[in-house]
Amino acid sequence: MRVSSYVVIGIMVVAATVMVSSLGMGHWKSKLLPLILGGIILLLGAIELWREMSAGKKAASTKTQTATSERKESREMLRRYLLAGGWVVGFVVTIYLLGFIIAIPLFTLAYTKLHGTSWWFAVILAVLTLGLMYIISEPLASIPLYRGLLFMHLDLG
Amino acid sequence: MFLGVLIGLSVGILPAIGGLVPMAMVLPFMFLLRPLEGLPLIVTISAVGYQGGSMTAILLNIPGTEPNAATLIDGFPMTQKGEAARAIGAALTSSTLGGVGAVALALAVIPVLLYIVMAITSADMVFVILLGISFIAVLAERSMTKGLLSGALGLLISLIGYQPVTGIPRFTFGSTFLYDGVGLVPVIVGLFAIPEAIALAATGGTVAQVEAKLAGMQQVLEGVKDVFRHWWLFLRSMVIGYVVGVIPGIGGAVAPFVAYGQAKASSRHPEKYGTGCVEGVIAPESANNAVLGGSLLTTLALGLPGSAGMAILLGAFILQGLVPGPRMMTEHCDLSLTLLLVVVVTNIIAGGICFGLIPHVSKIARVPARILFPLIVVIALTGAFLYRQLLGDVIIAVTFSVLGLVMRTFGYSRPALLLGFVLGTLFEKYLFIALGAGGPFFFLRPISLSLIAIIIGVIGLGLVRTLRKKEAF
Repeated sequence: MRVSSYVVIGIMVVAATVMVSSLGMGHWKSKLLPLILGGIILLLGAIELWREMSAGKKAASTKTQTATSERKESREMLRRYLLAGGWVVGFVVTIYLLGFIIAIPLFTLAYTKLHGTSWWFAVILAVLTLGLMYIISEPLASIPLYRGLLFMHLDLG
Repeated sequence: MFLGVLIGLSVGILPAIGGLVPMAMVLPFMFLLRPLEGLPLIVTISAVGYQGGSMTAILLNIPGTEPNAATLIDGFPMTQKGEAARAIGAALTSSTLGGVGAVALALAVIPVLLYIVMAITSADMVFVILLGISFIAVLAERSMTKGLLSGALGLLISLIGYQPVTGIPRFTFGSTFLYDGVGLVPVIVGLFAIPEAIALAATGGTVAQVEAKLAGMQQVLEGVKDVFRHWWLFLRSMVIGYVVGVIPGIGGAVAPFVAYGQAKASSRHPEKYGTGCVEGVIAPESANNAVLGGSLLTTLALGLPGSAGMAILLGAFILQGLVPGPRMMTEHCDLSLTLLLVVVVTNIIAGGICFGLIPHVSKIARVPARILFPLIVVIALTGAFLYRQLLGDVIIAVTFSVLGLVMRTFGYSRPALLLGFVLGTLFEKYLFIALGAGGPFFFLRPISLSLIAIIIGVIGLGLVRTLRKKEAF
């Protein structure tokens, strides 16, 4: 089975879960749309899955030697996507712990420096990014940026 | 007014800040200003936010304001094709002309339109929203089933939170954070901005994947000419934006999608939409600024705010001791006309400022991924936080970026999901109001039946197109 088929199955499982959980909702007005939409998604999912299966069979019968090198390439691409995603997750964790004011320059500096930018450029970019975000949010929009769990815990926020 | 232009444009860069926040920001200062100073300031900020927001949508896949979300469907692919300046030129021209044209339209059709607005009921609203939802079939990119699945998923996601009629929380997993539902800004940055940033970081290089054929200013002029070449599309989209703006309670985020959907549905080459087609930029941008002309008219003449921005303006009127409504147009005719003219003048000023910036800002498309990736991620996630000042929205944005990446990889339509999400809550609310007021046959009204006929036409057109392409279904 192709990976895209698992995606369709995942969507169908979500729709089925929504339908089952909405059955327990007290009022009919609350469960009407979840049940209808869940049903529509299950139906569309079944059509898409059937298409996926038949496309998978066709692809299997025309497999060539290039498949191995393509698989290697896609694995390499997946690794790069996961790495970039890891940076995003790392940034979010830093925001949660240290707040935006530290996380923004730290993330910008670390990423640009580790990807071959010179120190002075990385520092300037980090400071400018923080400056822009800070000026727009705090003095201009009067919205305080989140200060981070650590600083809030230490009452330094 | 000039201050308003500067505030509106400068804060338009952040997805959550553009539009509503600066309007709310100046609201407390209404006491210090006279009506003819304070109210134009608020209208100005509202009028120019979309112009600044279209630039970030096209260059970084981050819409500055919610109504700019439809612009990125074709705007960002144009940047990838090395046509950023052309896309921005077309966006700014259509947005500016759309804003100006809508005011002219507002002045021309005041008596007729107000009569129609008064005749629209919740039952008709159900079908206006359904018409928007029917465009999901048109927004579907390569596969109709995947497009419809995406739209249905968007509708399903919109159900998270309190049910608008019964007040029963749904799919909140016991978290009070989700009681108010999932915010639009985190969904947009998660679905569009972060997946593109991750893809950019993974592949390396720059956003623009090919060399530009024309130099900066030449491209801008090409974009301007594009709007005049597609004048009929521009006019249709502007009228759609205006009409959606006039109808209270729908909001500006819907109009650009409807305009985009009709542009694609009526195009001779719908397959080019989503791949960097200039018509896909002109249609939503003509509509998003035209919304203001329509909603301003309804707010002034009926006291019914057409959008959240107009609700803030209504608050400003009350703070100034003025009561918008039918008597507003006669007792305060000078102020009413001034506000409509402010929309015209500020659109022209903001357009002029932005045009001067295009050749410079479009160079962002040539910035290497190692610099652009952290910038996009920082702007997107800070914007997600600023939307409601909740860290949970940052988590929502990251969650939706995973969904966005999966959809991007496996060919599901992200615009269709977004359209379903935007319209889902509104649909449910008006459906139950209409059912309560008119019973199961609430749709037996001339306006509703006309709308049903249009919806059948739109879906039929989508199906015919799909069946012509054998592989697409």
